[in-house]
Amino acid sequence: MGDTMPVRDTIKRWLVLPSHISEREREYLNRLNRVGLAFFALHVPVFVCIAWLNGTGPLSAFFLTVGVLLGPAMAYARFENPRAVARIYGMAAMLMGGLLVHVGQGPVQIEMHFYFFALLAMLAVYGNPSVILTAAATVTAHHLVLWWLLPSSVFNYDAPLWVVLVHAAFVVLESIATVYVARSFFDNVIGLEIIVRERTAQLDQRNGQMRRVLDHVQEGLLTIDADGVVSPEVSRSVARLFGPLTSGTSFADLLERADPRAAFAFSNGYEQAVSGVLPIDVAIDQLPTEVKVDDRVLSLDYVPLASSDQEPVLEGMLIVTTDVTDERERMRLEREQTEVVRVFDHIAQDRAGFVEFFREASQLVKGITSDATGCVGTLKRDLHTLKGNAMLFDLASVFEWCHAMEDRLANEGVRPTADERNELAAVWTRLSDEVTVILGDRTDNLEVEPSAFEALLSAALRPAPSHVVAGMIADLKLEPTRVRLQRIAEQARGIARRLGKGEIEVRINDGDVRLDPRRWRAFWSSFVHVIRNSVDHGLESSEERVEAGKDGPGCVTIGTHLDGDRFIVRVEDDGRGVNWQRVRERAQTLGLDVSTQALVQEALFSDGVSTAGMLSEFSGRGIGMGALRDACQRLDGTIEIRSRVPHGTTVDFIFPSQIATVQPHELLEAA
Amino acid sequence: MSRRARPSFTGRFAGVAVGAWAAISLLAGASLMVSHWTVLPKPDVDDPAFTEQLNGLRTAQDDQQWVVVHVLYSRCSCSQRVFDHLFDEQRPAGAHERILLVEADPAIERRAAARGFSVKIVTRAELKNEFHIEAAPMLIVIDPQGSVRYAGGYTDRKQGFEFRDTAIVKALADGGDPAELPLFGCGVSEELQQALDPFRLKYG
Repeated sequence: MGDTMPVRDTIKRWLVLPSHISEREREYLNRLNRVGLAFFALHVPVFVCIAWLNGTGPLSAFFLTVGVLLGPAMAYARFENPRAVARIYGMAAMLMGGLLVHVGQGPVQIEMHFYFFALLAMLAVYGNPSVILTAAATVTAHHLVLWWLLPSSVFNYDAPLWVVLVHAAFVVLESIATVYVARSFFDNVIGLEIIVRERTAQLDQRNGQMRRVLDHVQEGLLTIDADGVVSPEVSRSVARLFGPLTSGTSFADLLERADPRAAFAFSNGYEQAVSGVLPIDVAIDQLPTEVKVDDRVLSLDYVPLASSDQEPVLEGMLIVTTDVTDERERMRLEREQTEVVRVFDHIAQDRAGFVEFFREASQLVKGITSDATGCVGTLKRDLHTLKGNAMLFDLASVFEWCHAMEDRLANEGVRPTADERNELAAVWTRLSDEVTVILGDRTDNLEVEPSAFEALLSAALRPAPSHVVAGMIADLKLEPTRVRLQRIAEQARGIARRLGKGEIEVRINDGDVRLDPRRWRAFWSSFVHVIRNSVDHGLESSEERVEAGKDGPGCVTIGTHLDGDRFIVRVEDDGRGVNWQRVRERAQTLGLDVSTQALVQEALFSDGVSTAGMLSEFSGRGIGMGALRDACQRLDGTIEIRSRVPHGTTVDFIFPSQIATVQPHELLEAA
Repeated sequence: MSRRARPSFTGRFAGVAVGAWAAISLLAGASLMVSHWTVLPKPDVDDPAFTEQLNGLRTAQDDQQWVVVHVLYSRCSCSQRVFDHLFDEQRPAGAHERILLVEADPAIERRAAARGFSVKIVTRAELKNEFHIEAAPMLIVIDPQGSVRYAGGYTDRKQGFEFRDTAIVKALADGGDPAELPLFGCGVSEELQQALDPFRLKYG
């Protein structure tokens, strides 16, 4: 049973035309039926002539032929369906064939039968198997009636049954062949319009199903061709996220609506991928992976549609856009929470250090976010300093904003936009709120070391002169450099860990020096740049140190001491030393004078000059040292660099001793 | 559910009319063809009455001679071809030929006389009742002893080009026994015509 159905369906498909009659088919059949009727009408005079010539009764031939003509004439005049008219024509054709055999009786009466086969073949022009079948059925009915009237008449010439069957087989064979020809003619010529419409309907249905899928997936799915033009079939999310699509819209156009920078980056990257300037994978890596559309954040994933050649050519791309706003928001909240935890940790470990960082950072944020037209150099240094310190205190959100703004400033020369400044201000306000909650109002607490407390108590009990005691009390507000250096040492170790340099050794020589923290706040804030330089650029990786024959981990020594009338802050590392040649070359490209070694050293503090081979998240822009030099100079200090490749570098910040010591009256005034 | 539009009255009428036309045409066509394809009945040559009637056509000149009788029907187109064949072509020498003509036709009689044929006119009923013959054209050959040696058609197939009558007569005269050819042509008797042409299209 299972096998018979397809065969039956196949036969039915061949024999039965689609029910719909197209305008094209109707026009064709009407024209053909008109010609066919004329053809049948011509049989009247022809058959009369034959009957007259053959002596078979022209008058009866006339009436008989007209009688047969009546059928197709009525059908043509009254039937609306041209296919039905054609079927009547099929029957009439066979009847006309019979008439010819009758009026053409005589020696060639057998030959007159060929007219049946000729007519049967001619009916193929209708392209309708049912017309052929009607004709064949007419012949069959004719023989059945013959058999009914006089059974022996079917077996003419006293023919046996097999002769009759052979006779029938020829009709069947021709009918099958003619049906095949007719159906092929319909499929490929007459009914092509219908076939195309059916196929189109099937495609529409399939497209509709695909449409449903595309309309219900959350992701935006679209494909683009080699020119970047978006194909019409896109998921509903694309239109919802980017707005309506028109024919010929490119993906860069869509991005342009939301983010012109992303559009520009996409255009460049895609062009490189298509033109083969870059390998496809490399070019795709440069395409934007995220874009903000209104208040939504979309991630962009690219699937190349490339030819399967050995050297594939990019022919298009499937782009999947995913609305990651909620995910990003969740990640942001998690990160903020993590930041708060880290802030809490830092406060617990070094409350004073964090408070000082926070005060200094607040000043920097204020400067960056409020001044839209100030000195670009100052802006760069402030951003760089804020970024570095934010990283040291694990404020990733601040770090990222600073890094992004610094990037644009360095690469495109574009100052932070109002939106970016507002975002940074908002981030900082949020952090300030959290910090305030943790610190409360006790940000100006004075911490007294036990030894200082005991000395003060002893002086009061002796009793010491009042100005001595007052000086000792005022001295409590000075900060031991040991505390500061310990803090910096911890930061240095953190930088090394982040850079993958493992645990480094950091030594401290504080020289028992105390400094006014307010006066030195800006210097210490910028001091982190030289520490980063030492760890990042100075110290080698473990493998490089082994190759250079150096034992143990890299070592950085930081210290403060008074040397006569000089107060020196020193940073010393046992790294690879400064590559002065690289500094010289870099300075020359910036148009700086490097005619002497002193000028080369001076160039090291210029913006854009770095000892780094490549940019990292910590350093490499050649900005930090400039900021540090400015801070140093504001305290009347100078910088000396001594470096021996590959034994290490020593950087001395040299200040007048007066700047490091505090006069009692100053302390009293401050108190 | 879509419902197919009902045809109009004229449409239904046209359908009925075409249907009637188809049925009538089929019947008419079949009726015309029946008589063409049917092998017509031949008389029983062993019937003494049949032999006696045929020998009654002999004359004194025919004594101890082969006699050929052509049974032809004046209103049968198949018989017309036989007439043309007999009157227009050279007949074999020494053949004693008679024409048994069903229903008189002066033109045929004149042509037959001109060619020296002896013609006997009979009615359809006489042909059946006296000669037991119901169809024409039929060739009958009687040997000198008065026995019917051949009773059948003239051609190998229906209205074939080649008439076999002279060859059959010669073969018989030479002592052969040619096969009798099937009889195609027209029904002559009322009963046969009714059977072959129930709607009286051909014999009406």
